[in-house]
Amino acid sequence: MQSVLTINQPGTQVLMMGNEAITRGALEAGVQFCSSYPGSPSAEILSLMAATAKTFGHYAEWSTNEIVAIEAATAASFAGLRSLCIMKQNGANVAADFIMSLGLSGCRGGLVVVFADDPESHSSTNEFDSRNLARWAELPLLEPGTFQEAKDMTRWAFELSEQTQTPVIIRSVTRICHGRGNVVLGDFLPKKQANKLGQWDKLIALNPLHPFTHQKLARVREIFETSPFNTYTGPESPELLIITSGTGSFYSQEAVSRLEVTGRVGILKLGTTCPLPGKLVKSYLEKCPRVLVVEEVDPFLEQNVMVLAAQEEMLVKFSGKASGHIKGPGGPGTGELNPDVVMDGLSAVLGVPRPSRQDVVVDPEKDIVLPPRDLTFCAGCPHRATFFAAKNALEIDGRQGVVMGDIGCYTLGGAKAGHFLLSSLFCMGGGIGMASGMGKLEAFGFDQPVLAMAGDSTFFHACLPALVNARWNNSKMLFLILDNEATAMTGFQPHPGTGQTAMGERGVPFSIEGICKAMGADVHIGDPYDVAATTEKIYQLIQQPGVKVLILRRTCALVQSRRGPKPRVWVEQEKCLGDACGCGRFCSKVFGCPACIWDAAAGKARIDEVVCNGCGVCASLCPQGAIQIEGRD
Amino acid sequence: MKGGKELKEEVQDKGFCTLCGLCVGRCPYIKSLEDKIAVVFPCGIEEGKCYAACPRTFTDWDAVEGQFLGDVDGRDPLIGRYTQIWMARGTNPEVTRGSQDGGTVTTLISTAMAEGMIEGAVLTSASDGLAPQAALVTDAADIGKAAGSKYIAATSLQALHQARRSGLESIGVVGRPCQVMGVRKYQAVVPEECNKDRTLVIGLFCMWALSYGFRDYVRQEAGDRQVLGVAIPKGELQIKTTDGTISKSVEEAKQFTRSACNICWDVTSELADISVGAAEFAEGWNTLIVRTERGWGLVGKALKSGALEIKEYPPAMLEELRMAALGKKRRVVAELTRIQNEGTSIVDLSSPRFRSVVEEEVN
Amino acid sequence: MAIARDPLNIIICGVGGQGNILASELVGSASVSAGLFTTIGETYGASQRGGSVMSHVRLSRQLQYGPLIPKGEADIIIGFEPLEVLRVFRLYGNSDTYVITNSRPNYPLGTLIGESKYPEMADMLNEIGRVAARVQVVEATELAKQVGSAVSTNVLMVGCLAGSGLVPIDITHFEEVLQQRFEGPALELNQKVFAMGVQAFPPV
Repeated sequence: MQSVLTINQPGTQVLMMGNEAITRGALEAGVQFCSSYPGSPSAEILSLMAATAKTFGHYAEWSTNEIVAIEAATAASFAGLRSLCIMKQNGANVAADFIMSLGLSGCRGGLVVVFADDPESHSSTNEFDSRNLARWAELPLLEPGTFQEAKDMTRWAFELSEQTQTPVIIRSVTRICHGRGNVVLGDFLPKKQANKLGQWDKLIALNPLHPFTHQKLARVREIFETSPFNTYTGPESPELLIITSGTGSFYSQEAVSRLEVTGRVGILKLGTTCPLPGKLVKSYLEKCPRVLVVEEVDPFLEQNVMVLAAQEEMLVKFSGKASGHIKGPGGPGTGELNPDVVMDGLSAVLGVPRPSRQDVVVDPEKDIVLPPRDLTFCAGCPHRATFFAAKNALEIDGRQGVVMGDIGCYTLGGAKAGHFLLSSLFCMGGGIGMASGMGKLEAFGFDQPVLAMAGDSTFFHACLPALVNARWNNSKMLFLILDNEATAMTGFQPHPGTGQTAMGERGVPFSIEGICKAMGADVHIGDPYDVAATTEKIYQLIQQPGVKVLILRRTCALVQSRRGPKPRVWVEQEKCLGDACGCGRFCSKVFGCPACIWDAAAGKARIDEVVCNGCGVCASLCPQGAIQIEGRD
Repeated sequence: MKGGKELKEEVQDKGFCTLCGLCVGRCPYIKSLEDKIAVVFPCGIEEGKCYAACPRTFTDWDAVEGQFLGDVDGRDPLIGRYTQIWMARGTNPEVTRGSQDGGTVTTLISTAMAEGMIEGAVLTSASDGLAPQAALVTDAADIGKAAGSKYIAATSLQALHQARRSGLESIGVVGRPCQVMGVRKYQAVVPEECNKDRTLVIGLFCMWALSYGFRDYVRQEAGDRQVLGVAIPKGELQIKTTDGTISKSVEEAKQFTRSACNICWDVTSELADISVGAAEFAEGWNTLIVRTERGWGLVGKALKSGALEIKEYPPAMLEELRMAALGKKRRVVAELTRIQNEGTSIVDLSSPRFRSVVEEEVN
Repeated sequence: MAIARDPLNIIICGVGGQGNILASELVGSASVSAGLFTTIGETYGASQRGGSVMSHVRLSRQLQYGPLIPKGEADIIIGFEPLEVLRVFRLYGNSDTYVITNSRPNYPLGTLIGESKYPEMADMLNEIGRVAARVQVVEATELAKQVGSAVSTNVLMVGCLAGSGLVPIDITHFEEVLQQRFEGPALELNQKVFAMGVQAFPPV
C-alpha cells in the first residue's frame, strides 16, 4: 500500500484530497513541526502528518486548542524550523490574539498557517471568512484555487515566509480541503535541525515594530506582483473581466464555457490576495473596466479591488456581491459558491441566456413529498441516551431547566434528535461560560435550573477558565460533561483525556474528574446508557446549590464498534404487541434511534441489525420488555 | 376522549396527583422521581387508559363502590361498607419486627403468601422511611423489609405493572386510599390486566401524605446523625437516629402535606377488601376493618393459623374514628366545592354520599 | 458503451455513514489511473451523522473541472439509498441520466417518529423512470451480506458502475486501485464484493 504522501517520484500524477495536497506540499517543503486542533474541514491534515511522522521524522501534535497550537508552532519557527499550523475558521478566532501579534514579531523558520473555512457551514456554526483575519493581522494571504495549487502554494509559502521573515496564511475552503483532484507530485527538500538561540535572538511582538510590518508587507506585495499563482485566461481585450480567487476560479471557468462567452470574458485568477498585487490588477482593470468579482462568502477581494480602483482614480463598473449578482439563496455574502450561482450571475451581467439541462419537473400537488433527513445521533450514540435522560429529568423537575449547549456531536441535541433541549449555542466553551453567568441570576428572580453541556475534547479546549469562573463566583449550575473518549465529530482524534497523542504515543491521561474536583466542584460520574440512573442523578443534582459536575462516560458508538463485535439487540416478536401495546410505538417514535424501526409488514418494532451498534438502551424503554440484548456486559 | 395530554393538564398541572403510581408504571411517556411526576413526551393517544384509571380524574364513587363492594351489607357513610371491625395484631415477633403498631398488614400479607392466596405483593419499601419506593415482593423473607409506616407519598402501584409483566397471576396490593381507588378504577377500565378475583387489596388509613420537603426537614433536624426511621404516634413526630430519638410536634410534619391530600375523601380505604390503620388508643394494636368476602377469607386464615389475634373494637373508639373521618370529609367537601366553583369536578358533589356529610348530624 | 459527454458527471449518494467517500475515492483513483482529469466534491463532518450525503465525481479528458456539478447535469447517479437517489435526481437529473440504486431503505428520523412518511419504493422508481434514460435497482446490501459484509455495499456498487461500461475507465484500473487501497483479508473481501457488483450489472 503506497500512500500518495510518501511517493518519491516527482512528476507522478495522483488523485489527492485538498487536505492531502496541503500536507504533501508541507512535506515536500521539509516541514518539521505541525500543530493543530481538530476542526472540519481541516482535520485530516494533522492526522496525515501524525501518520507519516515516523517516515519523515517530523513532529505532529494535536494541541489543546488553536491558540496553543499556533504558539507551539511559532516556537518551532523561532528555532529556525519550518512549521505548519492548521485550524478551521472558528479556530482562527480562538488563535487570533496570538496571530494578531505575529505581524509584529515576524518569524524565523518558515511558518505557514492554514485557515480552512467552511462556506455554507457544512460542519460549522457559521461561515466566517478568515481572509479578514489575515488582513487584520497584516499577514500575507494565499488562496489555492485547485488541488495542485493547494500543494504548490503550501510548498512555496514556507519559502516566502523565510524570504520575508513573516508567517504566511493559506486560506482554503471545504470544497478544496475535502474535494479531490489530479495533483502532480514534487520532490522532497532536505530538512534542517533547530538553531541555537542566543541572547539577542528574540521574537517579540511590540508596537514599535509596526512600521517594520508594513515594510515587510510592501516587500511581499512586490513578490506577489509576479507570482505564477496569478493567472489570466481569455481574450486580449475582454468585454468583461472576472476577478476571482479560490474555488471561484473553477466555477468561473465552467460558467464562461457553459454560457459560450469564452471570446468575450477574461478570467483573472488571483492566488495571492492580500496584500493585493495592485500593479497587476490595475493593468487588467485598464484593459477592461467592467468587472465581475467571484469569491466565496465575503466581498473581501471585491472590496479590496474597489479600494484599489478608487486609489488609482479609475472608473470601474463592479458587479459581484455588492451589486447582488453573486448570491446564494440567502443573499449575497451567504452560502457557498457553485457553478449555478456563477452562471446565474454571469448571465445577468452579460445579458446572455442561461442554459440548463434540468428537465425534471416536480408537481407539489401530485408528486411524492420527500421526508427530510434530519441530522441525528448515530445508532448507539451515548448522547442520545444523555439527552433522553436530561429531557426526562427536566420535565419531571417541572421548573423548565435550561441547557447551554456547546460544540461537538452533542450540538445535534439542540434539534429533534435531542428533543430540542439546548437553549443556547455559540462556540467552544460557550456552554459552561454562559451557564456560569446564568447561575448567578437567582438574585434577579431567575429560578429555572441551569445546566451546561460539553464534550471531553471541548472540556480541555475551552471549558477550564469558565469552570474556574463558575466555581470562583459560586454559580448555581450543573455541568454535564459528555465523555465519549474521543473528539468524535471531527473524526475521533485523541485529546488530553484519551491518554494518547496524535503520533500514537501514550500521553499522560488527564482525569476530567480529577481536574473538576481540584476546582472544588461537586463531581459525579455516571453511565449515560443507564438512562434511569442518569435521569435520577440529573434530577437530584439540579436541586442542589453550587457547581455540580456530572461526567457521563461512555465510549462513542462508532469508536466502540471498531473495537470488536457488537452486542446483538433484537425485538422478541411474540412479546412486542405492535400497535395493540398502546404505547404508540414509543421505542421508535420517542427515542428516535435510526436502528429502532417499525416493520410495517409485521406491524411490530424491529431493530435494523445493519444500523444497530448494540448499545441496548432501547431495551429499557419497551413497556413490554420485548427488546432483548445479548453479549453486552 | 381524554388521554395523556388531559392527564397532565387536569391532574398533574393542578396539583391533584396523589403519586399512586398507576400511570407511571404502565406508560413509558409518564415518569416520576421523588414527589414529582410528568408526562414527559406527548403520546398522541386520544383515549388513554391513564386518564380513565386515574383516581384523580372524575370518579363516580357510587358506581365504583357498587361494582366492587356492591354485595357488602354493612354501610357506614363515614368509614365505608364493611362487615366487621376489630382490634388486631400479629402474634409472631419474627414477622412483625419493624412493623408499626400491631404489624397486622405484614402478618396478613405473609399469611396470604404462605397460604398460596397470592404469588406476590405490591408493597412500599423504605430503608430510613424517607425515600419510599415501590416494591414487588415475591419472597416471603422480603416482606419484612417493607414493614413500617411511610409518611411520604410513594408511587407504589408501579409494582402492580411489574407484577403483571412478570406473569404473576394472583397478587396482593397494600396501598393508601388513593391507590386503592386507582386499583379499582384500573380493574374497571382494563379488567384483563388486573382481575379483581385474583387481586387482594389491603388499604391503609390515611389523613395526609407528605412531600419530599419532609425528608429534607428530617435530615436537617438530624444534622450529622444518621436517620434510622420516623414514627408519628399520636401528636408526636419521632425522628429515630443512631444517636437517640428527636421529638417534635406532628405539626412540623404536617406542614409538608401535599396539596393533593386536601381533596381526598377517603380516610379508611373504603374500597379495599381489608382496611388497616393504627389503633391510637392502644399501643401495639391495629384497627382492622373487614369489608369483602375475599378480605374475610384472608383474615379467617390468619386467625386460624394463629398468626393474627383480634379483640373487640371498643364502641367509643369506633365513634372517635368516625368523627375523625367526618372532620376530614367535611374539609374535603368544602375544598371540592371551591374547586367545582372554579370549573373542575372530580366527584359528583350532588350525590347523597357527599351531601350528607355537610349536614349537621350523621348517622 | 461509455457516455461520450465531457465532463462526465457522476453523483454517488446515500446516507451519512454508508461509505460515500470510499466509493468516490475508488472511482476517482481509477479515473486518474486511466489518464482522466478527475475532480470530486463531497461533504464530511456533520452531514455524516445520518444526513444526506453526495459525492460529485467529474471526469474529463480536457481539463480539471470544479468539484460541484451544476443542477440538472448529472449523467450517472449511483445511490446506496433509494430516497436519497430520488432527492438527488430531482435536483441533478435529466432525461439522459442513468440511475443505479440500491434497494434498501434507511429511515430518516422524521419517519421513525411519525412526522413524515417514507415513500413507497414503486412510486419513487416510477418518478425517476418517467424522466431518466434508465433506472436499475440492485439488491446491493443483500448481495454484500452474502459475502459477509453489509458494510461493503458501497464497494459492490462501485463494481456495478465499473461493470456497466458507462464510464470510460477500464475495469483493470478499478482492480489496481483496490490493490493499492487494501491489503490482506480486507483486500480479498473488497475484491469479492467488487466482482459481485460487476456481475450483477451487465454492460448497458
